Amino acid sequence: MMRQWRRWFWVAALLSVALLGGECAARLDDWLHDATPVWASPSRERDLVLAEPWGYRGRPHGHYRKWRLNGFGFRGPEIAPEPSFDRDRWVILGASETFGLYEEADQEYPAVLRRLLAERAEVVNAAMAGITVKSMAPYWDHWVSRFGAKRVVVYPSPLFYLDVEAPALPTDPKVPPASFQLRLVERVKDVYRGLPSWMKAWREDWVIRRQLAGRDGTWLFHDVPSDRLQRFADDLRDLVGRIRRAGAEPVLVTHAHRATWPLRGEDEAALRAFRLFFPRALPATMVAFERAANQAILALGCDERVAVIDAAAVLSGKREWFADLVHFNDVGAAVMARLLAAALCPESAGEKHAARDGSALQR
Amino acid sequence: MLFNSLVFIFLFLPVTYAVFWMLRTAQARYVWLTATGYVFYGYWDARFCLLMAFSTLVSYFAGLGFLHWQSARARKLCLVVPITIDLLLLGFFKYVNFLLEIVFDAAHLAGWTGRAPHLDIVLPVGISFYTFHTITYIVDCYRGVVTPTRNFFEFSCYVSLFSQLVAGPIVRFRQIEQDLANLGRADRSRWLTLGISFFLFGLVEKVLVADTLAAFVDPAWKDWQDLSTFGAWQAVLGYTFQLYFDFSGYSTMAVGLGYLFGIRIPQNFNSPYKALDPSDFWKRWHISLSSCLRDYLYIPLGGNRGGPLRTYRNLMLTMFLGGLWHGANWTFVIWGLYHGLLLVLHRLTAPAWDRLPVVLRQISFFLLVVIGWVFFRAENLTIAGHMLATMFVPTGGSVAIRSEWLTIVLLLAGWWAMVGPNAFDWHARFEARPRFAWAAAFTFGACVAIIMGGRNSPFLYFQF
Repeated sequence: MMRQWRRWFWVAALLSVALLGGECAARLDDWLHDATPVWASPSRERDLVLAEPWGYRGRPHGHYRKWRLNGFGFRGPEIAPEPSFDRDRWVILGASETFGLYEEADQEYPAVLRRLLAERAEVVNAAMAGITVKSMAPYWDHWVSRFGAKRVVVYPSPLFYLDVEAPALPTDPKVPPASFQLRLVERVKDVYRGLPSWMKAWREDWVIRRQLAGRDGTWLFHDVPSDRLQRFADDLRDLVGRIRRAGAEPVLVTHAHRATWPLRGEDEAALRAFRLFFPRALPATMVAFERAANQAILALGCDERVAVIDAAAVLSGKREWFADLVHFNDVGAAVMARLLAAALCPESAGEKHAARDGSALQR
Repeated sequence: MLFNSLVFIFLFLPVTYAVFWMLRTAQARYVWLTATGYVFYGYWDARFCLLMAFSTLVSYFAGLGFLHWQSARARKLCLVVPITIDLLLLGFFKYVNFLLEIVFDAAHLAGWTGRAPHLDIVLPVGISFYTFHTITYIVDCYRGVVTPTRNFFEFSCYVSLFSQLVAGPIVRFRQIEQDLANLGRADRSRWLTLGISFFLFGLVEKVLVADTLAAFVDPAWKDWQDLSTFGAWQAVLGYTFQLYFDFSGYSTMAVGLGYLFGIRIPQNFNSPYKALDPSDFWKRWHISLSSCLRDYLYIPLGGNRGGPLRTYRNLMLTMFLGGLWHGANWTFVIWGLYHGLLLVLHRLTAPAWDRLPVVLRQISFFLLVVIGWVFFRAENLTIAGHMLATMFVPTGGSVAIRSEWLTIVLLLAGWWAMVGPNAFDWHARFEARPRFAWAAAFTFGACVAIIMGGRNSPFLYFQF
């Protein structure tokens, strides 16, 4: 019996030493590659986000893994407070699709667009991961509007309106306090993202079943919830008004996603993964809502005489351009950037690509 | 599947190991190792397995042919036919586009205007290695060096042994023949510690050193046009050590894996940057390939038996083909010829060269090797020329990312490669002590954490 205990003790001790080695190596690796301080406990929410009384904005000089923010908390290079006299400043508002998630650093579409239009305009990526159209309004009013943008490109994420509760303004904005975190845990999460899809499907099904436990069928969105769609349209209209009142020209972009209608089996995994965030929405409802929201964006463009770039018409359904349901990969980001460049500035280098992609700036 | 992947370390290897030692007979173990070899290989692309199976069958039947037919003509047929088939397969998958390019370039020179067709051929991983495995087996059977095996699974186990399948070492049948024959009586406990230790040593070389260097070196090579002289030296020296630790790491892991299954795989790297001259270098770098080139090409060509000029011709030809073996690109051809030239020059100047102080010879020859790696790494001759010009003509420009840390990593890696012990040196003094277990656990945890970070790259020699 004693021998047995001794053996288990040694196994546990060796495992602890292996974990210690792993933690040390992970910290050194992060420091060497991403310049993350060895003793820091990095967290996306804390390192990239700053809480203000009116909501959230990017943390000045924030840095988390590949994501680096400038002195004003925008992703990208440093900018002056005022635009220069020889170039317009164009700002892009959006959520994680615009901020950049899966793309290599500087391959997110605003960064590509910045390079494409370098001669014509200064492109600023003012996106924040997780921001809803509702929250963009105070973000614009209190922060982004002060940077003198002439054009504001809005790439809204409609799916937030399928959340358990409809998007609302933050009542008590705050970022989570600093706490010790094992870097190995982050790496285990990375490993999970790389697991075969059948393994992830098993786990996701289990989580969704837990989320739905005890709920009746009426809790689910079987169809496009018209009240949520109306809220989305109203919030977007409100944002457009605010941008105009600040003297900038709004440009709306329809939201692209990898799924097609009718649904294909190949998109099942991507839709299931997103259902973890929006458990009330059935997969078909998510796609239908995206389509309805894009119709709402186009309608708003007509009503308010706002330029609309129909990115969804060009990119939606092209699986090879997306890393998940809505986020671009490097190729998709490049296509999106060329599409926007051609629409926003037809005389720029993106013009010929636009013709090929069949994009159109609708007015 | 990569040795430095989680699926290999935590799934493939434990399952393969556990089942292997549960099986009792040699035959069952041959079958198991064959099956796992195909799973390992098919993980990239299952279609490649058919090609390997075909190559295995051809060589196996050639071996049976040597047993059945004794006439010189029949034996020659058993030698030529399978080798031709193997080389045709290798040639088709690896060189056909290169040959087309050469033919069409020549046609352009003659005034023809047309575009060279580019066949969309996927190069099967490790085809150069297992083709050499089968060819050396056939030639050794023909020479009577080995007795061909009648046991199909013993032979297929040799060809598809996952530890040496895709990036070598190029193990000859005769080198592991005895271990394969004794596979049913292999002693698990005898080699376990050594196997783990070699595998970990290789993992450290690959994951902690080569991949760390790759993170700095690859971006520098990507921006080759913008590099300063210092940046170019950083990129080239970084690649010099990255390549060594990458390939040496793979070979060391292969040796460790061999031990875990009772098979002693020979040493493939013996601190090549400690070499004092080209001849010494090729006895230390990719030993299994250089000895194959020597035994199956250089010596049959006449070796050094036909006077100096014939020796030089044979050296140049051997190194030309050795360069071409690495890939269908003029850069590899130039690299091979460059080393051929170094070997010839060394033969011409050996008396004077050998009188120089050891340190001077080591450093001077190391710099010559570094110049050769520029051709080896560059995608084309334009890039190689530009890099060499930047290295030797003072040029302004950028340096590698996190330049100061790269310099420190380079110094450490340089010390290890040029002064420190290699896996075999270290294991010659190795004794399994409790403190080894602690160090092994710590190192293993560190390597796994780096692998989980997702920055690990495939082994450089996979492309060959």
